[in-house]
Amino acid sequence: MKQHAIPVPIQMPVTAPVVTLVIGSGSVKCAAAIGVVKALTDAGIGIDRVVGCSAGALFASCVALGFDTATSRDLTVRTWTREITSQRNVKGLLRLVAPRLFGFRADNFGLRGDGLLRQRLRDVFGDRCIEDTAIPLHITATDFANGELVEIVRGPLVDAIRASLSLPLAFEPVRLGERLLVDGYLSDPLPVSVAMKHGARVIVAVGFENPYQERISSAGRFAFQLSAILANNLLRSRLAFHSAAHHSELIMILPEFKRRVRLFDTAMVPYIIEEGEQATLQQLPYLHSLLNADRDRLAQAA
Amino acid sequence: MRPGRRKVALVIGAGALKCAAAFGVVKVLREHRVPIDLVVGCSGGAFCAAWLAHGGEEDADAAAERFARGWAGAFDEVDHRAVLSAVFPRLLRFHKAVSIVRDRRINAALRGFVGGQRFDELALPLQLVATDFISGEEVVLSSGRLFDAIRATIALPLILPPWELDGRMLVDGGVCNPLPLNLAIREGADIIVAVGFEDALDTEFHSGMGLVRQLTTLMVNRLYRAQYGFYNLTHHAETLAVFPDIERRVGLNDVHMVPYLVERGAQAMSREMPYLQRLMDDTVPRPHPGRTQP
Amino acid sequence: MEIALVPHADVLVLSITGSVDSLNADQLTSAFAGPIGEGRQRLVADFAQVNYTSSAGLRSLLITVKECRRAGGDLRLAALQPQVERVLSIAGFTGILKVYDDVPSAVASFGDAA
Repeated sequence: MKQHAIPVPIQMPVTAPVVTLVIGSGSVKCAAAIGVVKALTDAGIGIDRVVGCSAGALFASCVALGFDTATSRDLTVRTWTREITSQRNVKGLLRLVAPRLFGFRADNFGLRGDGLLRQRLRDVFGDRCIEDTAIPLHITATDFANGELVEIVRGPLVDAIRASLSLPLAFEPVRLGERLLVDGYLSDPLPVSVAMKHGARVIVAVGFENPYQERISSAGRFAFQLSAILANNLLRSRLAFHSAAHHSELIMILPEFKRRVRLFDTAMVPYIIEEGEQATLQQLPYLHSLLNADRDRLAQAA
Repeated sequence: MRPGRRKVALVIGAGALKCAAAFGVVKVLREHRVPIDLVVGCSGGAFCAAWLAHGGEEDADAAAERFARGWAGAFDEVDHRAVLSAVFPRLLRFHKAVSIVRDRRINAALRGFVGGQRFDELALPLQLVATDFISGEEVVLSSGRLFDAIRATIALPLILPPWELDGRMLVDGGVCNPLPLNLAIREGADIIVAVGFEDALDTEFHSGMGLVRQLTTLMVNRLYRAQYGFYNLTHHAETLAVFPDIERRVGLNDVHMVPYLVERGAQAMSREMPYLQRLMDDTVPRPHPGRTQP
Repeated sequence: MEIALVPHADVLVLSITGSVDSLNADQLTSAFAGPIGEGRQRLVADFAQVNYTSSAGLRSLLITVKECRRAGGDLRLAALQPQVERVLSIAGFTGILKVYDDVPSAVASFGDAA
């Protein structure tokens, strides 16, 4: 006799705990993100989206492509060395000093040639595109005409990272379509707004404040300090506004390095990664409770 | 809201010479007999803020003219050596505080404007904002000599020398907090009249210095907007945005534009007056939302 | 998270123990709403035993501060631990709130003003 099958409700899969990762500008310090991802992965927490700004775009790309810790660490050490800024753009220097004589134009004022940087980025990423990454990736830059934050979500990774990393006065801005793009940090050093825009529920934001100098002994240092004060205030005010305005929970990881880390100190990379991992471990108890509570709420609603 | 008069604060933000428009704002507030309980100023806004806090009968137009006369010529003396040392640091010895303009004239103008007045002699509470150049922190100046505080808050980087006060190297407050609404919020102001000036972006520039200025302007505008958004979110009551429409470029030396600026300020305040009047009139007691009893 | 209420003359001190985050945000808001609803306007939040705070936790604190100020009073903070102070500073809260090193200073800050 044929028995009618009793319909069995399909078991909804329990949502794996995931966060959106945002990696802000910070030169070689951004390698701390490698430690952050290691701690998250070891704790069974996944990443559903990555946002990267300036040097953070390099690491965000590694995460989006699924590179493991060792691979990311090795390519950081190979790629991010002082040599990428050593190709002096002699014409650029002349244009800065005697602009009218040498034809100053907004899009050709970079002082350093970007050839070596581009080559190294190509060595790592080839001709891969943003839209092909395993984890959705967003790279930010700044529109030079109006200061607006620009989100790059498609096209070659090399071009996007290079645009995000325009380091004003060091590398030339990049033309993308109608816009002239400069470094992402000018519009927002730690762009959590992009994560929030895409509906992130829990955001892990890894950011770096510029260290201040104790003695201002030259005009160059004066300009550097001014730029650091502005960048830090911009970072904080953007974080303050978005965290107060939006419902998502924001876990801020802003490591304070006890040992001084200069822009290209690749010898410090293991220490930097360790700091990132330690800082994340401190946040894990709350992160676990939060993600579990979130999952329970979603499961009940299902 | 609770019954009783609202506490009103006037906050005048950074804007160099454009801040003259604040005198026009005060003119309209006076015409409508709006009582001010607290004055906050940053950078160029400190002049009108200090004048208002001083109290007294002086007409706003006359004060604006006095401000213009003092300001005129203060930025004329460009220190060429300093400009060159900024571009070629190794060739010329760096001065302790790099600036393009010597501060003799601005100091004299400032002394003419505030004399030896102290904060505790003022009719209204006054707070000014400067930036500690070594620590990057916001510094609130609300005691001691007015001269020191105003001189510190207007120390535009690379234009005027920083001002040393109580062991700190102070510069323009606009670098950390160009429109310091937070100071009014922290003092519990219910109605904040926020007089702000966003920097115009250069549409074209022809030198490295112009480029640096553009990048700085981009970042300061972003800072301004983020802070403004945050302060609005965190304020328990109402902030009125009085942002004068200044369609022309105003350079540091364009003192002939002061009457135009005053008129623009008056216009911007007049636009907000109807709503401000309604807020002031709204003193009818309402039950607190948390109460269950009447 | 636990909250103990301790009156100091006409200032009410709320001592918080634990974490101020999204999981107990509602508890925090309710704990403060009670006194505010009863007309207590001068509040001090004693953070000496608060070891962690998150953006959601700060949002609930903000709601409470605004309620106090609407009622003509204020909520002031005391005894922030260094890591908590850092978060409050980065999130802009030290700019919009009055913060004191210890509870007596915070209580005294209300002065004799009516």
